[in-house]
Amino acid sequence: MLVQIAAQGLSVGAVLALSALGLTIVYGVMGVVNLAHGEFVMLGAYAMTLLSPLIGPWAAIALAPLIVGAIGLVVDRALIRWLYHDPVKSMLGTFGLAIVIRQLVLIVEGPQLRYVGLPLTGAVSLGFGQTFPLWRVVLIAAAVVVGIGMAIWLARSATGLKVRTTTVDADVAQSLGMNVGRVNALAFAIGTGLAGLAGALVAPLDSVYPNMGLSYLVGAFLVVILAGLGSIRNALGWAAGVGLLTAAVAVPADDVLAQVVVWSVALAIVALRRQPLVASRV
Amino acid sequence: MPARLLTRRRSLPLALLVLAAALAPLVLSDFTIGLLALWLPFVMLAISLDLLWGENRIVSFGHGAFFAGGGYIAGLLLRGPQADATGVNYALLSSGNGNGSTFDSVLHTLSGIQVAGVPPLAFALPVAICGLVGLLVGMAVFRIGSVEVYAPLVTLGVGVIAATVFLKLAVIGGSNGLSGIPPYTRQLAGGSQVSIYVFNAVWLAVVYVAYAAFRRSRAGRRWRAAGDDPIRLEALGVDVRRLRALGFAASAALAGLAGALYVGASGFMSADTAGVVFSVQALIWLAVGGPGALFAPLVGVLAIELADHQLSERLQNTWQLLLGVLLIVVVLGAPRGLTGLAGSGAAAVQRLFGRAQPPGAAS
Repeated sequence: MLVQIAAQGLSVGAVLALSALGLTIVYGVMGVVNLAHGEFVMLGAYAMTLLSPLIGPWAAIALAPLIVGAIGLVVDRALIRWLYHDPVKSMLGTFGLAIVIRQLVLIVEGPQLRYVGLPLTGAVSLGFGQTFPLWRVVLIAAAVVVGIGMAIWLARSATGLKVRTTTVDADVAQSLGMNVGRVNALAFAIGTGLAGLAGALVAPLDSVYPNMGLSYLVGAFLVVILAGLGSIRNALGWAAGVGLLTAAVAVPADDVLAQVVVWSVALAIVALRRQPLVASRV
Repeated sequence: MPARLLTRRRSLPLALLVLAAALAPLVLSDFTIGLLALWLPFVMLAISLDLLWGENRIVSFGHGAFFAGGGYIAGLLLRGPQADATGVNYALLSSGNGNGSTFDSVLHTLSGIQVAGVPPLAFALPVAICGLVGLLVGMAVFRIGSVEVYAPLVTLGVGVIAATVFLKLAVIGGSNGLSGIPPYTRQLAGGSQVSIYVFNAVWLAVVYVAYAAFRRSRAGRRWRAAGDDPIRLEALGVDVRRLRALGFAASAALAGLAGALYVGASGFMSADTAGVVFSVQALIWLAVGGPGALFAPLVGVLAIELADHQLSERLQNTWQLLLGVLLIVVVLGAPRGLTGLAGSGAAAVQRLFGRAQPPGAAS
């Protein structure tokens, strides 16, 4: 059972990590708490379900983040840029955005549940006669690769440097001649693109419907509360931790108890922690 | 400045409001009065949010949990032990240490305490329990850094936990919800729609007067100062975190009271009410009303719920879409909401007729 818990926990953690990464980058760079993040996950899942019959699952997974990121870019220019560095305003504005996206999808695509087949159907043996779906292994690998890739990109590339500078102090970045508006737009496109990727990857494991985003938002929030907004390394670590704790309760008991235990532990950790949570760098 | 509740600027609209509220049962149909009786507790919930948001820049995404919690407690006490609610199936505690008969007998004793057919504990217990939980949550939230960011996140978590637990507790109906709750006025006035409306209107009036008085009191100014400049207030020797925890507890208690009044009018409470969607609905009322303005909760609830009632069936999904667009428009274009717009409109009219006021006077 321990192996089962570990495998299950890591795959839950991978989904959390993928959805939390985008949320934390967007907050770190532009001080926007994006309550529409779950809706971008939903858009990614829809892109996967609609595209994979046409162009195959792998191409759909590759395209989904690009499409969702492009939508994010448009949304940033149209709405998000008026909400920078005002957490309360950004939460209300993005919640309005979440309602709009959800209802548009509902009107266009209807309320019915959609499903998409697994691109890989095999299973790996965990030993002790237990198996684990191959797709969940892909999910874990994707989270690790994307997380590390993002961290390296931020640490090494010239654009990453601009993003980090903007995170630390947008005004200084601007006065140094950086196009902060462009950095913000890029960060929002990346954040929503990651949400789209998460949606495309989880779509085969979940039913796809207009209101599916909320649970992903709540999960991403949980990780972000623990990891501190704006920190990628912490987000990856805590996502794994939360996933493992969830599985440790959910595998022997049930999902509901798992959710209650995880949130209670999270609130207790937050309450007992001394230092402020907002990390100063991505 | 003497703490005067009735300024000349306020007394006329206030008199009109009281008059309208008193005349409503004579003019409106029973159905409409029934709707109003449901909406008045919503106004109270919006006041509890305004106490945090309008006055102190704390946004709670979990007040639905307190509203639902208060509603469940009051609902159980109003309904009393039921023949069909035989066992307390705490599905969460699979060892099964919940004992149905003990719960029923405690409930029987508590709901047996009645004054004119109204169990006073149906108000006292929601206030006490929601206040206590609110205090604990407040103590957790306000220990940490940026209140503007973490209060919403943590309260969101509280809402998630509450909705999940309520959904699983068989004693409050689980996923079916708690139904068949009689109104408070069952023995006083036969439980007619008008009596429920009057009952809730009187409670709301009491809360509104108390809230207006609080805003003008010393404690209210200190509370507002904690929102304006917590660091300076801290330097002046006020324990801002304790102040905020207490304020959050008061707000949660008020939300619990609102829930208790709500079930008296609706006869029903479901776990959905504790969830994020309803909590945000309450924030939308306040955002549209204009956080920080005394009448914002009333204006926001009436505007949104009236529009919802009129349009939601006719427009279906498009109405929800419009609500989202409205929220965005209000956030971007009218951060002080409808009351703010009305205020600037009134100021513009006054300027037009040459009775200009200094900018600071219009508050």
